[in-house]
Amino acid sequence: MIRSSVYNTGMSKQAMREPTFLILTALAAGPQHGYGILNDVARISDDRVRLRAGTLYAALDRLRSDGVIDVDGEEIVDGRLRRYYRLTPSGTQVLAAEAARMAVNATVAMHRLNPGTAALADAIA
Amino acid sequence: MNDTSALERWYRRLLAWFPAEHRRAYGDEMIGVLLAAGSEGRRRPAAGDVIDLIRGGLRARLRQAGDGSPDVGWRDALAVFSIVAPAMALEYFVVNNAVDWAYKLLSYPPGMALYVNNGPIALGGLVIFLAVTLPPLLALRGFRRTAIVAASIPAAVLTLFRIGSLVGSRKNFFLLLGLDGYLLLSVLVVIALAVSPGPRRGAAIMTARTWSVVAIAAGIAAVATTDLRYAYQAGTKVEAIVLAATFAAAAVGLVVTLPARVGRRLLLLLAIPGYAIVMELVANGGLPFANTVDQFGIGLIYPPTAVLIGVVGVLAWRSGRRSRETVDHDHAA
Repeated sequence: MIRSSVYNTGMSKQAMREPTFLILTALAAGPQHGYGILNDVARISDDRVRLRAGTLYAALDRLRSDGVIDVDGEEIVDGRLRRYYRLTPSGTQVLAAEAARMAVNATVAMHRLNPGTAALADAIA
Repeated sequence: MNDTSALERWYRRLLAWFPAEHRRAYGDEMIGVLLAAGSEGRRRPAAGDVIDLIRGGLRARLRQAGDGSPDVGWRDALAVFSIVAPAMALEYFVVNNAVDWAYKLLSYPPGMALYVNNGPIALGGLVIFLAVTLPPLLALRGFRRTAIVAASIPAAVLTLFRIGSLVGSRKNFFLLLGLDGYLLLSVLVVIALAVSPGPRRGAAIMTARTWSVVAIAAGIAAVATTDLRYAYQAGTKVEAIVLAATFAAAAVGLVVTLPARVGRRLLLLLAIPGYAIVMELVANGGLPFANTVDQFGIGLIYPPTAVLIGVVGVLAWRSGRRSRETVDHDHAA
């Protein structure tokens, strides 16, 4: 990787966009190819987010250049290139940090919406 | 021709919206995904896919043209520029004016010194200098976006004044006031703050020896050109020689004390406002060729400056391209 970490601070400091979060979440379970990521993102989001190829590959290119994901391997299936992507260690950290940030926000929101239920849920947890 | 090959040809045409590097890296893979995700029997892409591919391609091109273009070396050079150029300009202004005013106040009664030293123009100069040189301090304190906005104000005002002066009868008025160099400096500071990691990174790259070179060069240039700064006072060849020798020594000093590629690129960046500033000193100070500069005005400043900007642009674009190809190669390996 050529780019220094100086140039890669943006993702960790800004809120991640939902498609990016879902792509990284799809890869958290293991390496996947492009079509697999599309289907997994739809499944994770309960069909609310359906990515298309243009959006997906623009995102994959950006995430690769940020060092968040990398190519895990390639194969030829029915005469067509299939490339697998995986999270890098840095990508795992970025996803974990974003998930933790969202969880904290969600907890605060639940507490404020319904203090009694949230306190009970905290006690049970 | 079967349905799949017709559809594939449509998709390949749409992929032309993406940059060539992106097509080389992902083109075949994207075709596979598009065909797998498309409906059976379809001969033309769905409207949603067309819009998505066009939007994705434009975004990829914008990203390439924006933060992806200059490679790390150029962005580091811009980062150093964002702190060195304003610091040199500020030191030059302070030392030059301090010497000028001290000399005039010792030689004339205070009222006369104000007149001889073009008091109101000096005050205007102070405002412009502070507006151009202080925004990087905001970036140093962590307020980068505010710094970019603050630096854009003098750049926009000077650009508007410059365009306005071209329409008026005194086309060289800007040149007389010595503002072209600061117009170019202010625009470059905005660019440097926007596309580089900023003055903090620049300060981290610089060493104590680099700061010494900058301080000594700006100090000598400021003292050497003291008599050139007020109108109608002829400069001397000795001052021109001192100035040229100072710039040459500073150029060597910067290349030696900075990482080699950053140093060389910094010199090219400094040369953009530097050339205009030197020409203005020549025009205002009566140095050799002063009449030529005065007569041809902006015609002697902007064409060479445009060539220099073109050279820097081409070098930055080529190195950015090489850098991306290397990254792609590393990923493919």
